[in-house]
Amino acid sequence: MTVSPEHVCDQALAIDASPALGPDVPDQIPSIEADEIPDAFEIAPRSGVPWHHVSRFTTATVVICAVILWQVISDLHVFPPIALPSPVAVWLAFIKLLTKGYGGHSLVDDIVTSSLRIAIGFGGAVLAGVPIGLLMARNDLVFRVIDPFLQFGRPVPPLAYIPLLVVWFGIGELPKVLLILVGTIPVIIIGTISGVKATPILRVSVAQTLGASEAQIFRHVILPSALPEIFTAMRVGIGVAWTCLVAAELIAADQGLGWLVQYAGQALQVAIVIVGIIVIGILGYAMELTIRVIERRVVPWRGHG
Amino acid sequence: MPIVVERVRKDFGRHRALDDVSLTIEDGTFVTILGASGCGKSTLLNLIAGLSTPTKGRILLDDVPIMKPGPDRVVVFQQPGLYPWLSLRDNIAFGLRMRRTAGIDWGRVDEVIGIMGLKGFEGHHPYELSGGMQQRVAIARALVMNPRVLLMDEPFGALDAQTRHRMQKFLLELWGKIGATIVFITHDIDEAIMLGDRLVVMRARPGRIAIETGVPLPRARHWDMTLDPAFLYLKRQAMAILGE
Ligand SMILES: Nc1ncnc2c1ncn2[C@@H]1O[C@H](COP(=O)(O)OP(=O)(O)OP(=O)(O)O)[C@@H](O)[C@H]1O
Ligand SMILES: [Mg+2]
Repeated sequence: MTVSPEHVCDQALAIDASPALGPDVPDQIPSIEADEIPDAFEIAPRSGVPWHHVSRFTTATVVICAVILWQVISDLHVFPPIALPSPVAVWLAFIKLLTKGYGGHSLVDDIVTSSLRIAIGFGGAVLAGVPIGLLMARNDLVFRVIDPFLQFGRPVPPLAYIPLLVVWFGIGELPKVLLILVGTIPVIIIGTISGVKATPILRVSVAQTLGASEAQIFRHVILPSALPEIFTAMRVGIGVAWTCLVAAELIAADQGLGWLVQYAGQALQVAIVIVGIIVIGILGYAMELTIRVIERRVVPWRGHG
Repeated sequence: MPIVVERVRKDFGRHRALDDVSLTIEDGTFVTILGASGCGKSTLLNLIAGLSTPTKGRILLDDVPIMKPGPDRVVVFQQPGLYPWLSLRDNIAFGLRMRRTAGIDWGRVDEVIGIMGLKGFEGHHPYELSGGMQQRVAIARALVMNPRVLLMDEPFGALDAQTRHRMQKFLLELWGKIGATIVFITHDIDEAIMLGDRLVVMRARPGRIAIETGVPLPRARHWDMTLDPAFLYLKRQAMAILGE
């Protein structure tokens, strides 16, 4: 780097400026209020970070480019239109699904049906998984009883449970919701346990020396300390739940996004399949964002230690 | 109720952190423990707090061995250890809330907030406070309990010189008023002699007590006393042990 005369001049000015502040600094011992003020300024939120907008802009650009590329490839007829319909054809299929529907009902019905199955299955997994995880983390016996099932069940793909669930629970809504629950609950339980284990020991020591009982420490220290990891598990879990949904709707379904994708696939309606995939992707993302919004409200300290 | 440390040894696996430590802390004294980093000061404090148990020897409080922590021996740890989900005010009231008696004396909480110069920040959360403020919240959280024994582990380490100075003065005044027993750990020689009634200097590897002595200065301390021959004599002794 070459040092221009201006540069040297700037530095000289900067050095000159600082001693000038010296004599103005009051010599007396500051009162408590006076030295609090810098603290107050330190905590002011840093504003004007442009990265957020940059990343949003990038995302939009990538999506638009991908769609254009897709259109170009289908226009060039690299693949037959039945295998790769153009974006326009997919859009038309989407409109048709909304207005006329497919298989006797509208896309909206599929969305509502699948969302409800997810909500109940995933909600059940959270409602049951968090307490189970807490119990397992707190009680060694409970841990030893449940952990083998957890370790055993984790690598089993959800599809493998289908025959069992059908034999046991028939072909109604129950086996579908249960499949989502069974597929999701290990994620929630393991996240909860790891959240409890990650509680900084100092937080527990502080509570102990302030006279808190075991139960109070669990309720007032360990539980809130575990919340950030529980939310992470929920965000991972919602993705798993959607994976299970497609499997669940193999069980004698006549509605739902998973059913739509499979049924249309069998009929070689690739445009409809693509619509289904995109809708699933958007809904999954929207649910994850919803959890993130709740997380920001419930654990605002996350990322601040 | 004196605290009696009797021939205590503490091992962490194969590492001997403390060996043959004996110490009697009389009721209402201000004891400072001085020692180089890693010499076992925090280990000793945790033992007195009841957070861990000695490998050998015992620690008595009122002639009863200390088995577990209790609110009669409140600790100010080396790190603030605040609860990030609680506001400043709720962090300070945490110990009072854990008492199974009804009601929190909020007047007392606000009084301590004032004493610690934290007024105006009651609703802030720890991550919105500077490091020095967080440490003051931790001190306030201990003071509000009115403990008979206050165990402080380098509580002013994170503070700037001026605040530190003010907190030292304040702690001495407070001690004069409440008459609690204070065990105060530091690695600052001047701080140890200025604050202490009694001074304990530790040696490292394994942690042992090198000297334990009274501080022959008038109780009303003033910074002029850093030039007092008695102060300088103690300082020279301590420096020799710490190898400075
Ligand atoms: N839980 C532990 N497990 C293993 N070793 C430990 C543990 N706690 C402390 N030690 C060891 O014991 C020795 C004394 O540690 P201690 O924290 O008491 O030092 P200290 O005097 O408080 O130091 P500092 O001034 O740096 O805080 C160190 O060598 C440390 O590595
Ligand atoms: Mg220490």
